[in-house]
Amino acid sequence: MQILKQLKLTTVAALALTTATIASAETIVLDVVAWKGNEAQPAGFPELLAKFEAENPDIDVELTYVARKDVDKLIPPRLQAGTPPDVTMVDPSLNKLWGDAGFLQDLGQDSEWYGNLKDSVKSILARGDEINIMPLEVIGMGNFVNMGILREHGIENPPLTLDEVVAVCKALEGTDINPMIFAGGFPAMLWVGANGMAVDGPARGEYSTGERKFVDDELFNASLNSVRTLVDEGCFDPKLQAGLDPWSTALEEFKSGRSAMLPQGAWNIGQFSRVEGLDFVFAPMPSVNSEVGMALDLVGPGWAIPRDSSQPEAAAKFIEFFTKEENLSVFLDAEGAYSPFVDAADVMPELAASYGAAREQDSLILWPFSTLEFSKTLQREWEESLTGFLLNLDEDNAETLQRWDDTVEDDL
Amino acid sequence: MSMTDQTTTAPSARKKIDPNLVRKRARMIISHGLVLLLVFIMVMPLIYMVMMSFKTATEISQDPLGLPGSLYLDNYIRALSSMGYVRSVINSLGITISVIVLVVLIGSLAAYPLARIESRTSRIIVMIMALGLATPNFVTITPIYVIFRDLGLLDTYLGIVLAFTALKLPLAVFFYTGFIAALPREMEEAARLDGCSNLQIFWYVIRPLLTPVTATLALFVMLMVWNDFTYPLLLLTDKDKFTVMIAVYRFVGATGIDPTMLFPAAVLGSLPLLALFIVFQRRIVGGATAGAVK
Repeated sequence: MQILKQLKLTTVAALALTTATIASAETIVLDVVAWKGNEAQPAGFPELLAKFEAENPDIDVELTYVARKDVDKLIPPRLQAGTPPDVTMVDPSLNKLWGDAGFLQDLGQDSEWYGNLKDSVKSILARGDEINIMPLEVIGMGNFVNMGILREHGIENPPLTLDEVVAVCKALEGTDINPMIFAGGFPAMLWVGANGMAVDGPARGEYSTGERKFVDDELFNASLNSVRTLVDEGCFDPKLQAGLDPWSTALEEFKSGRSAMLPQGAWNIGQFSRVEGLDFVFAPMPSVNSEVGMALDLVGPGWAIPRDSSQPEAAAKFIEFFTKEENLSVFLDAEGAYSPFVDAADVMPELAASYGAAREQDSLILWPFSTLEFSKTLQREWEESLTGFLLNLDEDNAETLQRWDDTVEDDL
Repeated sequence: MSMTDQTTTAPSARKKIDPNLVRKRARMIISHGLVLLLVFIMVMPLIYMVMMSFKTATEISQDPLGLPGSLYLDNYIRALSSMGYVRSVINSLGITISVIVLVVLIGSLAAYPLARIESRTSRIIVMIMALGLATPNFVTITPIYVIFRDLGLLDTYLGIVLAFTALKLPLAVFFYTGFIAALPREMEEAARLDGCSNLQIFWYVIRPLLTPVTATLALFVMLMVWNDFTYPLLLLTDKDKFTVMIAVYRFVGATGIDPTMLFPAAVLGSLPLLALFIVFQRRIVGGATAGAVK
């Protein structure tokens, strides 16, 4: 009897082990690489991946976080060796670079989601009759404004023009509040871009082909002059701001509630919203070229399937999952971004209403560095030269703008 | 006061304010002050990191340089829960120690003949090794990945240990060759007369003399391997094999950081290294300074 019982137990255990082995053998591990979805920027991924795995019990998603700056270094060896991740995050520049090299699969322009993409996005991302990327977002870049501070000083609305910004700086004169964070890298670029480009102005492509020169351009010259106006009106100390890190210190400075304005991207809405007592709005960039401010939209990253993906079917399911509005909206909500698809629900919070209003009034420019109209090298040149400009405002505009033209020439 | 009093007290007063002693003391105070200032400058970022790790999000944003109101441990609990800490520390320790052992062993064995055989070939090999030091990381990354794929070493501990060993060997050969070349040959010649083979001479005569340079090299290699996340991220895909620095790296975002998670993670990431240093402090410092005075 005892032997029979032991035999039964052994059989059950063996069966259970066999079943478990078969089950694990059938589970597909999907290797996904992204520069979002980590603890610092969850982007709704924990929730979305759990949902995807629940809907696809045979797929186990292994998300590996690789920062955007390290993707250029870490993923090409895997693409070249034929052992890439099954799905990888790409942005427009990687889409072009890896797509042109033949490393990415064609996702098909005959798909339903491709048909629903906004034309402006399609025109940037499609490569001939191929599409290698399923874009996830179009995200705004504008001016974060601490409305608590402004209201205390009798200003009820976020500034949308240069004059209104100057009025804010004047109102805060003599207080211990820093009117504006104008870090040399990114915020300075946003200001100069928003004031140097106009909706009905020259096409960005004219600059990058060398047809139009930055150095002779009235708009960009006026834009640099507007920075001098900000300094003259006491909006910020250029020497202090030149070296400020826009990705850490500047954000903490705004969160501390000691600064009234910060040009940055909408991806910060989430983290700023978690700061207790921070009463802020996300407004379009104040501009001399628009009465309602300038919305700067950045075509964000998306998913791509590498050519040698070992799980192309599971990868396709993964991408299909993100094309559904109920799933994508979770990501967009966490990011503070707009959908790249037509007729998609707007999930932007009320605090971004003025940014939305500028977009609706077509006071909108697609950030040329994300549409690849301006190159990555030009972007680096903008960052570096604007830091130099802040350190020496007496320098002629031509010193800065000529550097941009030289970079364009080198790119050509 | 009489004249006599003045003459009797004068020598003792002069003794009290001996200018040499004053100068010596002043020099000592200044040098100690400078050392303290330098130590403070070097330690400040560490103190700041530890201070920040115990602050709430509100405290960090409102008073970034101030002391924490209390020891807020929730940051550590949150960081620990998402780091897979123990496993990743074990991985880092295993990889780092294996690399140090291999680099020291192979590097010293390779350097001995290179330092002792005076030929053009030796000099060329040393120069090639030195070139390895100057080669940027991104140049070697693809070849290493492809070779390791062909050898079936991707996603294995052996693979990552061999990769780091290969990358740090030039440094070891460079360190050891210079050091061995400066050692007198008399002891080796005596050992050879006693019938020692080359390997025995290396093991019983040269190796003990390498302690100072080995301590310095081990420290260098330990820091480089422990803090590197590029190669582990490239060669490993199984999360259970990830090192502690990859776990810390997850807290740095593309467009910002969450200081309440990053700082405790950074403290936790460097803690084992600090513990190792404290445990072996005497040996490391002793080794590094041995032979400094002849």
